[in-house]
Amino acid sequence: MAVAADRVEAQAQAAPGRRAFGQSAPMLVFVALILVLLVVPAIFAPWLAPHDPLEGRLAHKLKPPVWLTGGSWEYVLGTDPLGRDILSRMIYGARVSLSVSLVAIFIGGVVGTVLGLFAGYFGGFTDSLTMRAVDVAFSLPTILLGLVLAVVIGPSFRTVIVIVSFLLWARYARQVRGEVLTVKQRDFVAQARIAGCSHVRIVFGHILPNVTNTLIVLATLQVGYVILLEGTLSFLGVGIPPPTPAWGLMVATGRSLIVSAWWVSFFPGLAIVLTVLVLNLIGDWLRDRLDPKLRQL
Amino acid sequence: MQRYLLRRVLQGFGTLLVISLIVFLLARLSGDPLNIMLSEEASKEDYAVAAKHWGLDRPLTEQYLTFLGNALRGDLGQSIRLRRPALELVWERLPATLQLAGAAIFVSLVIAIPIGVLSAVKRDTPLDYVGKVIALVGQSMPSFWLGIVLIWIFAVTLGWLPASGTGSFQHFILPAVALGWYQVAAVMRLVRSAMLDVLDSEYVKLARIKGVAERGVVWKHCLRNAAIPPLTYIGFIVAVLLTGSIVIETVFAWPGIGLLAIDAVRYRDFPVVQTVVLLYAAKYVIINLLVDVAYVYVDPRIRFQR
Repeated sequence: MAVAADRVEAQAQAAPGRRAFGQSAPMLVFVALILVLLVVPAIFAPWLAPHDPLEGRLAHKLKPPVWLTGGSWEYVLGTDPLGRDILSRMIYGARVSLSVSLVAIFIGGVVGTVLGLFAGYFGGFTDSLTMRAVDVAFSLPTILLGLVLAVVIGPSFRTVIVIVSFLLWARYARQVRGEVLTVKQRDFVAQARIAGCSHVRIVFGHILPNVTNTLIVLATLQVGYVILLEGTLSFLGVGIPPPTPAWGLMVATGRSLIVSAWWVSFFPGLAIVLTVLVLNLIGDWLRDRLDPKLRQL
Repeated sequence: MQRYLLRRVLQGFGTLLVISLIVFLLARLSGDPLNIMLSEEASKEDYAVAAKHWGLDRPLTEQYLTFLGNALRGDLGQSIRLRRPALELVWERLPATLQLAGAAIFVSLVIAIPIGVLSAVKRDTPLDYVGKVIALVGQSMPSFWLGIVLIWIFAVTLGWLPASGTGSFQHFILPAVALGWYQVAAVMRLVRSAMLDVLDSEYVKLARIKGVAERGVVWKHCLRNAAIPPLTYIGFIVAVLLTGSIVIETVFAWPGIGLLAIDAVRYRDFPVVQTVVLLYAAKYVIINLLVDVAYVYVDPRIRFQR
């Protein structure tokens, strides 16, 4: 499935004369604004959130946003069926989403990179074995596997990280391996070998620095994808368990209330959209800056 | 070339074999299926009888080999919950999922092709940027949220379309849009880049010199050629859509494989889960293989590799 996306992207990104969309001035302002709106509340959630994200008052349940009749400034974006403030839960939710994606990308990235480095450098059996494992990882249906894993190990913050990093490593492995294949042909690798460097030192000291740009771009582009994935898992009830505020879970809560209280689902979902949008813009921009050849990513 | 193809087929089988092992182990790791099958008052003897009946008292390796042997004969076990062959259950749900995927592809092509063509023709104009915004926003929207918002707008507020279920043509519209939207971005970019290539080509110049109207040049001469790359990726898009439909089927209560799989996971009905995972993996492997075969015929460089 991910291969599909890759190949589609590869074609799409190869568009001649494609100008980085995030580089026009208004877009940069927009990106910066959303990023500030996202990161600052995530870090300073306890000071910024107007209410406790977990404690609700049933007397105030399902209050509409401030601009609708019945709304008040006390609950700017309304309340959920348990009387919890939606804005506060969204602010804490930013923490959850960002920390899940960063940790999962870090773990998946490190595992995938190391495997990809060795597979590309040593070739032969190591390479075939790793690449077959990558094939397997790519052909497993993502969401379904996540569901099964969540049932097997039970939903928790840690489970989500395990699932997501398990789904991510293969991409790094394949990308890094491909680049190593070309990097290792270059003279400095042979020279390092002649100078007496060990294989491990060549891999991490000489080849790894040459693929860092790729890694940075890939990781940035994946933050958005992971937030969508985490949201989907939470939505299906196998992500972060309640009552922790997670955006996907909040959307799921409001699903049955869409007739009477649309705001319960709408705003947390909007937070996902804006976050992923901004992260994709930054990823696109980084790709153009750091590594134009990565258009095939 | 035969050796290349043979190797790819064998690799495909290998992948499926590993997946069958993973699926089998996951099912066993999740706890004793007997706990769900038997009532709370079941005695130890009942457990022993049931274990014997389902072959759960055998060593794991033997259980796996039995599972594999049966699978090769098309027997993927009985659904624990519904007491019917798992493959049969999945087979029943397949048409609904395929219809939804087909409708989603149709929606994404209908939206993406005109936008892609226009943004290539009017390159670097506001129209082009609007197209890019649509693509970017599309790729940033979680499909489950889009589905809910569509229900809110078109079913609840406007009352134009049904919110869930199947039956009529109207039932297709919302789920197909929610599912297909994510693909719009990819298809649009493909069409745009293909169009930009074609617009520069010699025969387009010739068509212009001959005096063909600009509209004819763009929509007939160019689009026909620019449609090839996106068509190549339809296979992949189907794969992505089938996986994505798990979520959309939940949102719209669409009686397809996705809904079946989610129920099966919730009730720990592992024969059904195994069947769905294996089926999806097989579908992915087969699509990849077909594409590789197609490439071999298209690209001589692959053909003459050792």
